[in-house]
Amino acid sequence: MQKLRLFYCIVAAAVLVPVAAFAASAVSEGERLGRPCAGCHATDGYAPGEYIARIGGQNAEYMTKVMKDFAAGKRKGSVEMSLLAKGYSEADLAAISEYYAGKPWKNSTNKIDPKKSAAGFKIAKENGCFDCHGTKGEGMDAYPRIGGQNSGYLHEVLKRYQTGKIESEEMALVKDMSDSQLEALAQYFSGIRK
Amino acid sequence: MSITRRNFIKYTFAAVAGASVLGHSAVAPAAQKTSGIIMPKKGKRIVVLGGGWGGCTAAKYARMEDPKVEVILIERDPKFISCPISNLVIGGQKTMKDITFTRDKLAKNYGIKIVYTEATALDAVKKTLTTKAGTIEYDKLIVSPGISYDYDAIEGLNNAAAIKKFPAAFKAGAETVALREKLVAMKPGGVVVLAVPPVPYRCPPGPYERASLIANFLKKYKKGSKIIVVDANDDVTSKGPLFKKAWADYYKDILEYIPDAAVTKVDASTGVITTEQGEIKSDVANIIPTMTAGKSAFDLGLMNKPDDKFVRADAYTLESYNFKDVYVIGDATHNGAVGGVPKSGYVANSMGKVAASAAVRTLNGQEPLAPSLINTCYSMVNDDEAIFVAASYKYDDVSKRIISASGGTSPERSVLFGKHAEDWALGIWNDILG
Repeated sequence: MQKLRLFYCIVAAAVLVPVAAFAASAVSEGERLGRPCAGCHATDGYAPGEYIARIGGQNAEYMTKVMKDFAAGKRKGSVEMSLLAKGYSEADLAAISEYYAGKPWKNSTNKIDPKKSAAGFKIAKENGCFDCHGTKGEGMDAYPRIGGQNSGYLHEVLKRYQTGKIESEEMALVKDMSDSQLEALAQYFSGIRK
Repeated sequence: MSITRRNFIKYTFAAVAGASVLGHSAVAPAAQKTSGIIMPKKGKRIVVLGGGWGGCTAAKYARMEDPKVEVILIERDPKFISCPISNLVIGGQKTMKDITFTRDKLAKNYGIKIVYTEATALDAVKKTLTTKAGTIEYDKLIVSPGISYDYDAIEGLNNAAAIKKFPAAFKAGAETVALREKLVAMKPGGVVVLAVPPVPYRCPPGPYERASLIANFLKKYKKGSKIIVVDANDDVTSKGPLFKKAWADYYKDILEYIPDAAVTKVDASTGVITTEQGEIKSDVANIIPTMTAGKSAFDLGLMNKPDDKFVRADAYTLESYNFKDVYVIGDATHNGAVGGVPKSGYVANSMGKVAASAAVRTLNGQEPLAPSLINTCYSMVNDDEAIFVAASYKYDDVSKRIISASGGTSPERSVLFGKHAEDWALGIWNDILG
């Protein structure tokens, strides 16, 4: 029994989509470990609130890096995730990230203030946000998808970049912005529904 | 498997009695003439008993893992009323409407068949569950029975007048409303007593969050009132320093905390609460009694040892010690058997996924996968600020129990954690019901 369990773990970790061809229920290691995450982030990672991130369809490379940073205590502002991520190996965190990254993205349903959003668009254009995050905020590779992300979460993360709680050279451009400018950016990107 | 033959016969007899006496009115006549079986099983079937946090999650995730498996959910109450967030109804921040839902999406989106009835007996050999609506066959049964109150543990509590006067409100619903109404009706200057039961009980920080929110309510609307927390335990059982800090900062003259003060006696006519530390005359008293696994766990024969109050189940699969192919999840599980996981809604949600996967996979001839669980639990200490505990859990091959892999509490209270608390509820309700 134990040997068989180990065997399945190895298969799961190695292939990520194991035995799909002949098993009635194929559960990857990322899915096994990632299912409990839905207790906050909702089924498939489509968090319905404002302050918990949507993770279903997030870019895998970015998510893997962030998860490792949580575990290493590099993103202290994310208190819950700093505590939780320490319970998993690097391979586990990568598998969980791949699992949620494999879901199709679904945009936030948060209510957006059109005035703040319009101001946010202007700030985004002036600061070159689209250069890295794409014209729809879809991100790529190590750059996160922010278009359609939940608004309160985006605002909080921007505040952490601003105060240096998250270290990032690229995001240093928000250091001199006011809180209402950060909120406007969050409102704009959250409101992208394309 | 330690069930005795004598017990086995007893449960089988109960099954027969349940079918013939209680199943009478609701069973279709045609089915009754034959075997009392309703919804005859055609393919692979998982039956889930109990449509709370654990049961709804198990039903949904079983269908998500294998849509070819038929899933029947059996539950007594057509309404789903969330126990987490119900303290905010008592505190006045939320209403019952905010925590009351249907299970319609489970039927619509996942094809789960929901039968609103009560289970009366289990025949683990024939693999049938008898309900008041008839007998239902299963290949796998997942039981999520929640908790029951042991009213007998406190003298004077086990009668209708006392239960009405001292609502426990640890099952969200009418008890929640009753406690809220008593607080609203209380005259300023009144004394509220909140009795914390001995561990283990559902939602360890729950009584202390409630005490905080009642104190918050008294501070704002009932000048001169007090809340006295009498704790059967020797200290606050969860997030202690964080609760005590909030009480000192916000409710210094309003909330009094007395440890080692188990309630021994209550008097419904005078409101006098007797504890190990003396008597208190209350205007409103929230007596939370000692808890056990839900009554159905006892009725169905799931208790493994004579004095057990919770259900022993294998930590890897959550299959019960007593019966093969019968799984137990949520607050009803025995910590000595499954390991040191808290009796929280989040853990029930995680356990639902573990048991569903184990049931589906073994039904399909596959090995079950190792359990992986999470708990996060927020407690509001006033209208805006929350504290929390967060932990991840995994299976330990040496102790053969679920153990904590990481975790801790919030370093302080904050408004942001309060927002997380609210959004956590939205997220997990979606995961359970959406």
